Amino acid sequence: MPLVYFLVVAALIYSAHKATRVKGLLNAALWLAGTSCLTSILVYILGSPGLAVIELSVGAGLVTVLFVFAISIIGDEKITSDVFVPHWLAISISVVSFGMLAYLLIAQHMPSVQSVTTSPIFSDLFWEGRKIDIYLQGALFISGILGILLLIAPAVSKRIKEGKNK
Amino acid sequence: MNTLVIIAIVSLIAIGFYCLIITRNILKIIVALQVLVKGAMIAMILAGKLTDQMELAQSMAITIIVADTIVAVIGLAMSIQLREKTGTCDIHSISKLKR
Amino acid sequence: MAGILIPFLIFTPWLTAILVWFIGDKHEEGLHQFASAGAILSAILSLLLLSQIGDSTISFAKIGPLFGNLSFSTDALGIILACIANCIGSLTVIFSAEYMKHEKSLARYYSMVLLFIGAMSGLVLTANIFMIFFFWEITALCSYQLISFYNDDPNAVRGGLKALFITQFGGIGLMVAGLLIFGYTHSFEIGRFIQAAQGGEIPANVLGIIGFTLIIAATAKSAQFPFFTWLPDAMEAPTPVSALIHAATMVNAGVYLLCRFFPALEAVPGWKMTILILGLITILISSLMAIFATDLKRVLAYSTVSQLGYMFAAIGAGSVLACQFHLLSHAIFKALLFLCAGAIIHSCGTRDMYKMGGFFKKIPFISITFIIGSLALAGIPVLNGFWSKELILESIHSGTPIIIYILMLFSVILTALYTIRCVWLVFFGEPRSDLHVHDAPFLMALPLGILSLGTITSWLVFEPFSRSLSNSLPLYGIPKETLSELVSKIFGDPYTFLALGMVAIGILIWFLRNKLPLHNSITRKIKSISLNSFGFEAINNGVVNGINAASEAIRNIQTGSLNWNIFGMLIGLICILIALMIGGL
Repeated sequence: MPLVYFLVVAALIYSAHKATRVKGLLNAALWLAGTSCLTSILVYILGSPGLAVIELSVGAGLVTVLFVFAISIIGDEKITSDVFVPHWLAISISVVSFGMLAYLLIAQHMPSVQSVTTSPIFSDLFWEGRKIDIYLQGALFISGILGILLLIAPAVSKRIKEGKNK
Repeated sequence: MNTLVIIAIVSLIAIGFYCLIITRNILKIIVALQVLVKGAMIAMILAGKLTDQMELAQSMAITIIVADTIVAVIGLAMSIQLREKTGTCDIHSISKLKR
Repeated sequence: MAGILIPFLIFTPWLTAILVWFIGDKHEEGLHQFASAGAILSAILSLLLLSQIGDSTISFAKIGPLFGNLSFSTDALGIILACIANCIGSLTVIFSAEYMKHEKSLARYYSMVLLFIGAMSGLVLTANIFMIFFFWEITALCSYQLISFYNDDPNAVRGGLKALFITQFGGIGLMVAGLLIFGYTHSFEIGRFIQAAQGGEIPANVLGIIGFTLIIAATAKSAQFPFFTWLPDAMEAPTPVSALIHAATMVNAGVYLLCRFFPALEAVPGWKMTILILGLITILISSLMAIFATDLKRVLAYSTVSQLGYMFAAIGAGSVLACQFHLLSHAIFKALLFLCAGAIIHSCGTRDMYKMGGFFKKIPFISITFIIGSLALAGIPVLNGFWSKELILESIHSGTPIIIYILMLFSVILTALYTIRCVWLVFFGEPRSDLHVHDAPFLMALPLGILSLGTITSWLVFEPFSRSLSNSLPLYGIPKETLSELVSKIFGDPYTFLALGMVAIGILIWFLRNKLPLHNSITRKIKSISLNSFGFEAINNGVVNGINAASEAIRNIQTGSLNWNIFGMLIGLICILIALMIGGL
């Protein structure tokens, strides 16, 4: 059992690292899809199958498709400006700060949480208890997608025209 | 087991932040934000498992996924517009603040 | 009823300010009328509030779990000051309709003035220390904006920055006092603090620190020693602004602060004596500087500083009633003097008194109102300045060592001297250069007339004044006096005639100035020291330059780059984690 955890966590960290450090934006988007799949597996073995499905479909589906779409419009280019924060400083500060955070969490020096005895049914809690919240999020989601389509429509039609003219 | 998951969470957040400090390409920023939020989501699920309130944690994590997806979607659209208007993806050359 | 009036009183000027901003600079006539209407409406509301004086505290919502309630108190101390602020505010807005005709960016001017009036009402009416700090900062912002109103003029900008830095230094004192009060009484309510201090729940050294930080806050805001150099440089502001902010309202905020916390802090050893000594030094220094100044508005600024010193001395002697009565009189006659000076400067174009002269025949209305105001300033009988000044002198005589009383009498001579000098140089004698002056148009003359009427008659409200103060502030130890008691006390006291004699000596010194042996090296030395503001100008200029240089240096860390900002975020995270590791383990 711990072996499965260990493999999934190791693969997750590796794919996240590759997603941010690999050259080429399309490769980064594909590694991001891999990261989504691995987090979905991790969430599943932690005990939440519903969320795993949602994460898989949204993260590895919707976001990846949008990324590929955007990258095809934008294209890759070399960045020529200079770096503000040198690499060694960035690595050291990330390692120091999050190392401290990990230490505090693992050694359980963080303030402790108490567990609640009654646990309601998930669908009840989700659709009744947080009704307004969920409906708002759904509306936000849909309006966001529609708005985005409106925003990138001129760019897309321009590309299509350019494609036709060629 | 919990320790491993904690290490995963903290590493994901650290990788996300490291990429935000290093990168100058606007699409890479969105990739970094995605990685960051995945770490936060796993943290929420772990907290649900530890306090035995999985349902509450799941509903919150769904909210997190929705928020992060909307950020990704709008961020991508804005970066496309930015590219169209200014012709570059580099955030340092776009900034007009007098330095 | 009061619960409805107080929010309206604060929000009417604020709403008018926002609407004025939206109207913009294009419709100038509409701007003048709309701003005047808003100011007059809030003045009427404040006068209505006078009927609601009681000792209740009204609280509205909670402003978050830590900061207590948004509470207002309806006692006389606050309501009288709110009336002064709103009424004089409306008169200066009417005056500005004529004075600021055809100026640029009028929307900015009116919205800042109205924002200021609303914030001042809020400052004196609230009973929550955190809200006092909030309104305090808003008044500091408006004062800075209005001093630097002519923002093409580098002197004005520098004057505004100097006022901002020095009064913000005082704001630090207020914040420290507020945090200490919260730490020891777990609430931000002033009533609770006074109860705790009088009941002995706060340790004596903490109470001492609270007292002295409040003195720092009050002296910085009211331009006392050693923070007095910002007020003369603030005279770069348009004159209605000087009349409102730097004579009648904002500089009273320091005095108000001390009066409000008086019952809690009067037992602190050395507190009252410190205030008394600071007030006395301020009176002497600023009167000396006023005798040698050449700019008309600077003389009035120095005289404001010295009259505030009188109020501080009254608090130091223990009499809140005398202080508040002098505040009322001073607000009226000082606003009158500043508005007259504004009318003179507007018509002749210069502020230098040595270029004026012989204006009495040319502009009789302004001359008469100015002379009424200056007679009140000098303390001539029947006008309101006389009664309040005599009340202060009487309380000092009965409550403090005799040497202080003698120094106060000397300052009465100096006050009379600079007043008569100012009046003579501007209005009498031969014209020193041919300047064209014309009398005030109606919209300027109306506030002058109302204020001079107030100067002559405002002492008649002494009885309801002291009765309402005494009834609504039971812990403050304010005596109830009737008007006849006041008149008989003052005219029956032989020291009154001593003070009047000092005024006469001061006037005589001016008229005999060529015959007295005054042109020797001592007076020349005093003149040169006072023209340099006794060395404090150099210190304050150094502070201002230092702050400017430091902010230019810190500007370099604002790069606008995302990478740098996230880096800064992580440094902050490290600091928090270090604090957790040290504290939590």
